[in-house]
Amino acid sequence: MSHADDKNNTGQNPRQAFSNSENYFRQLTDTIPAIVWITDPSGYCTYLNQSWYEFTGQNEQEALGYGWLDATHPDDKQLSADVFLTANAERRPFRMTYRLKRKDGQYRWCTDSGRPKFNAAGEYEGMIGNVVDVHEERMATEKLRNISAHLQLATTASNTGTWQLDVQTRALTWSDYHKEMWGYDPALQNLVYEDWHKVIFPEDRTEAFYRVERALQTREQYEAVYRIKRAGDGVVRWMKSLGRYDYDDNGTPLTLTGITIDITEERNAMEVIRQKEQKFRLLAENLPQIVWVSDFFGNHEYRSSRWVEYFGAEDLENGWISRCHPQDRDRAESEWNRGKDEQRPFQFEVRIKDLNDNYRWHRSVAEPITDDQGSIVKWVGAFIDIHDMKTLEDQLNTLVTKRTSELARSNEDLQQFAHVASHDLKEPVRKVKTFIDRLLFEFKDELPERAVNYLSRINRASDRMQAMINGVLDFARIDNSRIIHEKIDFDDLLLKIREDLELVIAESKAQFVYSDLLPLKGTPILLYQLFYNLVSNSLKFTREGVAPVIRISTEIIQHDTTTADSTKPKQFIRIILRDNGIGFPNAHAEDIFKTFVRLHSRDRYEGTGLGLALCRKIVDRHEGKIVAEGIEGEGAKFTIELPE
Amino acid sequence: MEPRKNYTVILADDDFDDAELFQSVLSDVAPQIKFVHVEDGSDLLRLTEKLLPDAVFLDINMPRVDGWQCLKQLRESAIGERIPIFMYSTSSHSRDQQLSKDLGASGFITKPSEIKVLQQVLTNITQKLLDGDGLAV
Repeated sequence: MSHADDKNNTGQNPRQAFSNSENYFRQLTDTIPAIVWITDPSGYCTYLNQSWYEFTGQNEQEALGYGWLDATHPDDKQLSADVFLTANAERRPFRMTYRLKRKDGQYRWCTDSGRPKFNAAGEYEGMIGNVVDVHEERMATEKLRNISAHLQLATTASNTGTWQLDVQTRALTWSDYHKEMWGYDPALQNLVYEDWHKVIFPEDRTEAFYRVERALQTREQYEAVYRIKRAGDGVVRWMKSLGRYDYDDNGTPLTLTGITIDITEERNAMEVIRQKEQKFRLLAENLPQIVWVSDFFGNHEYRSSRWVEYFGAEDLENGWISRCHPQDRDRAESEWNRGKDEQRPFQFEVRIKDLNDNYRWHRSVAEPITDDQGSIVKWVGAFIDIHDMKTLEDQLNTLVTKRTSELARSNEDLQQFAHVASHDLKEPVRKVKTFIDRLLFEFKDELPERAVNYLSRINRASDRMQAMINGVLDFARIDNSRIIHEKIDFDDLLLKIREDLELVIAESKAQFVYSDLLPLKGTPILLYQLFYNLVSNSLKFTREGVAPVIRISTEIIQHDTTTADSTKPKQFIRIILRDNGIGFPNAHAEDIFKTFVRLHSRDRYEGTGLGLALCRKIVDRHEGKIVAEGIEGEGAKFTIELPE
Repeated sequence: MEPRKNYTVILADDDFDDAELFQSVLSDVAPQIKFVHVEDGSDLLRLTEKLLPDAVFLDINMPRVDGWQCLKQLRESAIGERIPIFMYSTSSHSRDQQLSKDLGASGFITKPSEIKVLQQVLTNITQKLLDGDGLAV
């Protein structure tokens, strides 16, 4: 306090005057609610008004000089001292903020500002200043800064742009992210309402504008969904904006503040779902089946319109089960429950009553829909009307039975016809032959040689016709024959055939080559016909000047039957019959088995055209197979396979 | 034993050509045998009520009463038991031959188209008839 004392003791009158004015000043300053201080040119505090002492709880001894620094926060003390002493040394104004310890022990943020003081002569007299408690403001600012930082973080992280529109000036304040969303450079400043509006997709612009205006009138939250065509690259994105107007005390709107979110992905995902659903519904509605979708428990969420058309009502008392035929109900219910329990697709057939109380057969099918984790979220199912199909099946069975019996009858008729026709045809031929024979027998000596020749030709033609008729009769008879599987000694069979063909064999000097033949299985009379025809065939189609040689061999073969039909025989006897006759081109290998097919003129080789067709038929009836191979001018080979 | 003066055979056949041929051949091989031709089984049955033939030849396919019915009725009648009855048909079917045997026919003759064959057959039959051996029934 020596400085102050020194000051106080400088000169009487001026000191008195000063003292008066100082008193006045002190009185003045002590009564105002602000802290006021005065320092001398050296920086020594000579005065602190009453407010200081009341605020800090210090007394004059503690506070004056540099003692006031003790009241500041230890962390702020050094800096505060530096700022003050520097300003004092440089004699210029300063302003600083530090924490000042209130007498209750709480540190309060305070702003201390001072100005240099000069006398009339321009000499530096020290500083005068004041201290203001700004703690609340400081706290508020800090809080705001925190909030702002959090908000920034939040909006950036959630791809949200923030904005504020000044209603009066139409100035627009956007967050950087918002600018990016619009395709603008984040550095862009001085944005206005039009900068928002012009990027909006033309079709959505009116609606977006209308929404802004409406929120103003209704004083409700502003909300708008619209597309933008991003500035720069022109990419179209879906946006959603939310905002709220702020009003002054008179109710005049000041600002519209809000956020904008890019909802393109959600929108697209929703669109996909919507389209899928639409497709499903379109499909379901157009299907002739009754389609339904249920939740996990089977409660229907959707039913196609066919449901109502069929049942006559959307909701049925006790569900569709109640509409099942009494005979099917328990089974349908247990099938349905079992399917649900086992969580697998299922189907069953059931009669269901329609709105006119008619039962129709349906196939009920259901398929579980699972989520990503594989757990069932829904069931999709349908009732498929199979009534006509089922009825048709029955009708078809009846029809088949009927047709089969008709066919059997007509087959019988045909056989009857063939028999009668052949028999009736045989009669006249026999007569012709008889009278030719009688003619020759009685008048041979009287007839000229040419007449005898003609008669023998008529006779040959009659023979051919007789053979043909017999062939047709045999052919027709095979279908009727009962197939038995008797063991037949092949050697005996061939011996009998050779006896019956004795004349031809002798005439042609034919040779037979075979040994160790396996026994055959089949119907004796038919197998006789089969080999009789084959041997006759070989004896008939001989090369001129070459004595026929007929080779026969047998072997057992296995056939892999791929069918599940176990009754189909697997073991076969393969018989190969070879001759050295005229053969035939291989292209005709199948034709020769057709009825009335002849490869040679009748004049050269006699035949009815029925022999090999008969062979094929006999083998077919035995469930075997016969094929032919031929080399023209070298011979023919017949391969027959008969079930063992 | 004095040979019988009159022998009679009856042929029941609706085919006149066949009947004519039969008669022709029969008169060649055994002119002493009387030949009677009837057109079907019913005529034959009526005839045999008055006339006892020495042999009967039956065609199978005939109107009204066919060969089989005729055979059956003859064999059941008093006279039919003692006379030879032959089936004389175009058929050569084994089934017909078997049936013929079953119904008690004395033989089954397939109508031949060659006269020589018919001559042979009728010679054999008439020889036995004329020899008085009787024919195995």
